[in-house]
Amino acid sequence: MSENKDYKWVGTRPIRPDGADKVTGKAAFGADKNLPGMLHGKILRSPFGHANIKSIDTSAAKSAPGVLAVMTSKDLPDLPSEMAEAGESAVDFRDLSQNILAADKVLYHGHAVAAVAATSAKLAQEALKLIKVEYEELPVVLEIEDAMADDAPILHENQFTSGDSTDKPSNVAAKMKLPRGDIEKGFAEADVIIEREFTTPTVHQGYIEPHAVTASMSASGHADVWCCTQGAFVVRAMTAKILGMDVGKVKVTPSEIGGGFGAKTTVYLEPVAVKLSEMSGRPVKMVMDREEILRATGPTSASVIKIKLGATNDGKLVAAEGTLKYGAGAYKGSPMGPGCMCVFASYEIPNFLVRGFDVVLNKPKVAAYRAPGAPMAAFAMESVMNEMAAKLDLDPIDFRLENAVKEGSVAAYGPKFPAIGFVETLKAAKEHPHYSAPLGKNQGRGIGTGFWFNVGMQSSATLNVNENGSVTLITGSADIGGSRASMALFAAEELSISYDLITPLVSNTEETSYCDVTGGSRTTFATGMAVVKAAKNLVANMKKRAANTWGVEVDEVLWQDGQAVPPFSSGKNPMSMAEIAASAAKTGGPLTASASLTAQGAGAGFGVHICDIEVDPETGKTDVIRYTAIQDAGKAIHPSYVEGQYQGGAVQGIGWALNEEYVYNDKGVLQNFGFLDYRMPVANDLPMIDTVIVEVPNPAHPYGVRGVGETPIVPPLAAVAEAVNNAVGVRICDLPISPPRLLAAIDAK
Amino acid sequence: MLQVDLSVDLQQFSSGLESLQVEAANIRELLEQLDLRFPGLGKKIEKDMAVTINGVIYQDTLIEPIEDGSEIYFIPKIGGG
Amino acid sequence: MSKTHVTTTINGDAVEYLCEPDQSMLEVLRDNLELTGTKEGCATGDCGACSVSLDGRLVCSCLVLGVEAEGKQIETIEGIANGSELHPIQQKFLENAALQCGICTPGFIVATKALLAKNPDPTEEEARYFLAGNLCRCTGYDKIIRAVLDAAAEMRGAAS
Repeated sequence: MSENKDYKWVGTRPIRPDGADKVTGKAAFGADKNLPGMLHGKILRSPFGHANIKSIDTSAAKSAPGVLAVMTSKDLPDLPSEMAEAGESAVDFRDLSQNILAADKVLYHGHAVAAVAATSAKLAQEALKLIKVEYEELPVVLEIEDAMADDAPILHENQFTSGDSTDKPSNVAAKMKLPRGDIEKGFAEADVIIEREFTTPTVHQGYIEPHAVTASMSASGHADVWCCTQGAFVVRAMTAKILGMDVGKVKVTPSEIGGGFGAKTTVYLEPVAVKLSEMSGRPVKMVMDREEILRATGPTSASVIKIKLGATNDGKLVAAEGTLKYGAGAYKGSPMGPGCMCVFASYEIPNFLVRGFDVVLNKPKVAAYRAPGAPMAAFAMESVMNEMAAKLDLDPIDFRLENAVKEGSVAAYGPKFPAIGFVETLKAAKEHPHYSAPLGKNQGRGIGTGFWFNVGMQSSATLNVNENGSVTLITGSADIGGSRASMALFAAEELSISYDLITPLVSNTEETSYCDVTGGSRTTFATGMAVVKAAKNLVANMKKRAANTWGVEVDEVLWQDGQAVPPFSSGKNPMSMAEIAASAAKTGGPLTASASLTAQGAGAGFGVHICDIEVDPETGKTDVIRYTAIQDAGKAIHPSYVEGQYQGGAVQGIGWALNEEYVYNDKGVLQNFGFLDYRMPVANDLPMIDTVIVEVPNPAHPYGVRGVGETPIVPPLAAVAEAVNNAVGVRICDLPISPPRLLAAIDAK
Repeated sequence: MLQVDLSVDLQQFSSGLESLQVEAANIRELLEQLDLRFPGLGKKIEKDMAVTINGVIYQDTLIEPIEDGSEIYFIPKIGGG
Repeated sequence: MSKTHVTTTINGDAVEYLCEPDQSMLEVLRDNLELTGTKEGCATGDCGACSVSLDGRLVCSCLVLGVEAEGKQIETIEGIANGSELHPIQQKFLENAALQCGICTPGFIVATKALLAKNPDPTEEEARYFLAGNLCRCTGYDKIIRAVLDAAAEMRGAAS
């Protein structure tokens, strides 16, 4: 397993460098930015779930008290439909633009229609009421299967199923097929076949910080944008594209970010705030309220997933068939692709067929949410795996070990796996005391496993050495969960100086080199790789400076304990980093090093969760009473924040399993648009979340790092459902396992 | 020679051919060769797909060297949250 | 609408401000007084990010009007540390890595101080119930609860 290398800093748990500001209220988040003369912007939103916009009259609003600018989609360039890279994944800029301000149609309740900037938020809100919009209401379609029906209301008359040769517009934006072997032959060999259908509801990422931006357009055509985002460079790219601006004239400064989980990898307000600032000549601040966030941003897909699985009596998987339908919301682009690639990725199955469907609905356009597409797929597959283990009378972990992918296995999505830690993670789960602890009345235990790819993408890092030998470390990767600490640990390890001598910063798009979003579990892996590379460059430079000072060959100089060490024969004394820095002016000027890269070889992450629950048979309420999350991190750089990812992801998954769902009425109006009714887990819902960090190094990373952020949300859904099944003997295939649903199922038994 | 296997979605470019052998020393050459053989295939891969070389996923790179005898497979680009 | 003049005490400082009659305490703190350490997560009293202490009572400042502060004592996150010396609750949140993004942290620290003033030796369950009004989406609460219990132990030790 782990190499057990003797690191001085990597693997320790120092206090995060930005911590003091975050516990004293000094840290500035998205809504904390104010500028002199600033206006406040507000958005008018659609009262209908689906309607044609016949006309918009903004004249009364424009002359309302305090109003300096009013805009609609007519104030944005009409972009052609064009898929383009925007940092994390491809996006159609036309869809993005029309999601920000609807053009001819509104496609969900809450869809933005117009925007106002006024001298106060209250006056802006008042002016919204003066905008007259004439709508022609259309029938809504909210459920995936309904949207796929032949007679379904069509959202986009110009959308045809990608790859299908048909001239009939469809709500199915794309299909996907992933075959291997011969499933008919495979199922014929099976002794046991299980076939079930699962549904999961629309759920929201639920970050506590609202989307917020302050933008200021200068007379010279330069836009200054402050906002909370997972990727300042992506906000820059999207804002420039949507407004038809040169990216070089858009500066994005990321604030601290109060949670994102994938949802803050796109834009909603930023281009609007920039345009309103241009129109008014004043800075404009826009902050969403919670209702707007739930109605119009984020969520992740609802899903309908059917799994058919065949195994032999001795516990070998022989065939599998999966049909995965994901709701994209108003515009194409659900996580169907990764969902289909993940669903059978953890197991060796000789024959399978996966089919995927990306379906548009009259709901907000989905945004990425932690391992997009994988939790739904794993809920279905892992539930059937648990049922299969029970039918075959096998221990569920032993059954998985029998079929688990390992190094050299051909992944269901095509390539062979390099070194991975699924087997080690399963074994760690089996050996954990939790797995064999006794249970009481109405209690049950379940397990679930999860897989996620993780990604690399582009990162940059710069190290500036100060004259006393301390170091300023600059990247453009948003710190969403303690990554500054990890970056500083890498630098401290490579430079072999104290962690406290390093000040890690997250800078803006004009003062640091390009970094893609903090997403895809990539920051510690990829930006960390850039930090390591920059630090190695810096050490090489400092060795050269010392060699020149001593008049020795550079390859005779060693770097140890933060100092350059001369060859013994030279009779010289070692030079500390502070001494090299102090003499830098005379040895070639300031000491600085940078590195930029497209990180390759992201390591797949596997997790296994063990969940104990207790059901109140009177009310159907389920309480999680013990929980253990086990996952391969490759190498934990700051173990506390790795554990934090395991715990936070597990609890989001528990919420998805037990409480969370979007409830719509038949007009497509969201009924639970606040935190009171969109019920996320609170402290007294939960036990401590135990963690085990398995370390099977990723051979592609200098420290063995895999991403860790996303995998933890994948296993819980099936683990919770199986625990409920083991407690009360009912298998719930439709999430959430809310008290009324469970009570009805128990009563029907 | 590299062993290249094509997913079902990509076989529409190759008239159903599932696998082929290609001579290439890096990803750029590989995609050029594929495009010569099956017009549009290399460009489709460069735009939408990641390249896996012996199982290791390479995304958004053309310069990665490929050792002779490697197994090549293409998968959709991965994003994440 | 004419503004109301309010005289109050915030973090020990005598403060006067003018506010609209319908402005919430949260808006006054953040927008009028630039005390942005108090955060808005929902403005409906459901998330606890805007927790402050009003005459020793823990409240959601989004549910209190600015005019209600007249003659009262308010404590916000900015008043918890003793100058540049962190309060033990703040220190324990850092040592336990009890924050990831940090947006809920001010509210949790203010609420924890209120809990420990009432109950210096809470059980895990008591801490969980008291803090149930504060939402955190990042941590799953594990490390927060550990920090709270750790801070309680430290403060009891210092008091004895």
